[in-house]
Amino acid sequence: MKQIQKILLGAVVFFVCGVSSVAAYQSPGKPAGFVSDFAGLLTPATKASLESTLSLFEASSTVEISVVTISSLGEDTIENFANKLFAEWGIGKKDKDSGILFLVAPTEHRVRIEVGYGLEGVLTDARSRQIINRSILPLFKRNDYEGGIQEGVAGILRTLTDDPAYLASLYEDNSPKTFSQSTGGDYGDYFGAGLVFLFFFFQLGLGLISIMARTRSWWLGGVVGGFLALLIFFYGVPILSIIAFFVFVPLGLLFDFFVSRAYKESVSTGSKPLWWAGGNWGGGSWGSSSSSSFGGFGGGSSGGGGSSGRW
Amino acid sequence: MKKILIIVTALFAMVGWYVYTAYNSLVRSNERVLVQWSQVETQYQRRFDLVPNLVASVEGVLTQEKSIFGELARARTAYGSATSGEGKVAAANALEGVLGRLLVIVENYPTLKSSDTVQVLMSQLEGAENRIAVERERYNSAVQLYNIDIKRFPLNVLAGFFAFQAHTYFEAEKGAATAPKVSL
Repeated sequence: MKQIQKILLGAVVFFVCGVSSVAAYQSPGKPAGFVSDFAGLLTPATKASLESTLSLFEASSTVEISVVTISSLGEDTIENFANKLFAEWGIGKKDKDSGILFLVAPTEHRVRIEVGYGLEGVLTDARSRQIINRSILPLFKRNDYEGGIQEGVAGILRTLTDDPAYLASLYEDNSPKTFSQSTGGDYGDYFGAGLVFLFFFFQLGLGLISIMARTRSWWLGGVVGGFLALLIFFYGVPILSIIAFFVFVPLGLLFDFFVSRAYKESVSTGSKPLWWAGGNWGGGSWGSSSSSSFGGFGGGSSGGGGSSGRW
Repeated sequence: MKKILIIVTALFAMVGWYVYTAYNSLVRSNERVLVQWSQVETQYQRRFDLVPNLVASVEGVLTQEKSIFGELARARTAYGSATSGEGKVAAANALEGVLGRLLVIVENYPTLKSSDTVQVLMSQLEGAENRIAVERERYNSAVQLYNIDIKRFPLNVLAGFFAFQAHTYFEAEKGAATAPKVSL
């Protein structure tokens, strides 16, 4: 109960000060996915498995659950931090406000489940508190952050669905986890890292193509071709690189010419070609779309629902 | 002659267009403040609605604390009969104080503390407080935007002409930040 007192007082104090000065909330940055482990509490394998579970769940239910660990709250309360972060990232679908933020601040020993407007009726304050007190805190108290976070996510999922088979399927179709289990080691991590790497290059390529397309000139394609040839040179095959230079530069120029033309057409017709990257005019979701597979949250909002705990 | 006429007409059209859009933007940000205030009131109401349940679940055990229930009831009636924003804030602040004391009392009764019903009510109350905090803060930022709008040149001229008044920020009751005294 002392805790509630403190929260009450905290809210009041916050308002007395909050009128004149802006809150101490400091953004931790962009979401890394459904799981954003800024405090580094999770092993890559656990992180990947949580990510896959949460993205499967989002795909079938449209509920966006964001698990975030932060190294510091700054001077802020976890309630305010969670609410601000929720608003900044826009967790949940915009029209449904179907988002949940599970925030862990290990330094301050605070945890919070912030619930979007649309889910307040399902994941009630009382239920959130129960999950925190019964599933999360016992493990956090033993410094088992990873276990506590997994249990917390499991508790949230159990609240949102009654169907045990469906629940199991969220964990089943979980290749990185089973992969690392069967080989019993880091192999799964390498596999994951490789995938991320591949994906990164794929996205980089998409971004480049998109830029080439947007610029009306087509010299950039030639430059990229030349750069590829240079890469081969540095990899120790000088002769090949000379051949590559004469092949890649014209190819690049030709490619740029075609995408630029296709782009012009797509603008005039309004349709988007396959390689379109970077979202809409003026919207500018460039950064997020070219750096990770995660497409960002849907723009949902929350109003302070949920519960907090400390250990 | 014709040229001057065109220029003057164009100027008038431009000024007219400016007044039109500026006025509408003021109306919009004013409306945003009012809507946000109603959000604060919704959350106040929500907390008041929790009180009867809370009372019902602890009254039986807290037979020696009759006075506090009287205070809770008074705060509720005061809120219900308040017509102005200030009156509602005052009643809500009064409730906040009494609730704070009740929580301290409940903590001293192990039977209550371990009761599931009381636990649920506490989490709801906590949630209500937090929602109020969120909405109040959003109200304050809506007020801030609006107040800046009507004080900044050249909008302030328009705001003065159409009598747009500054809204007051929400401030917590003086002394609310000091811990409630428990008299057992």
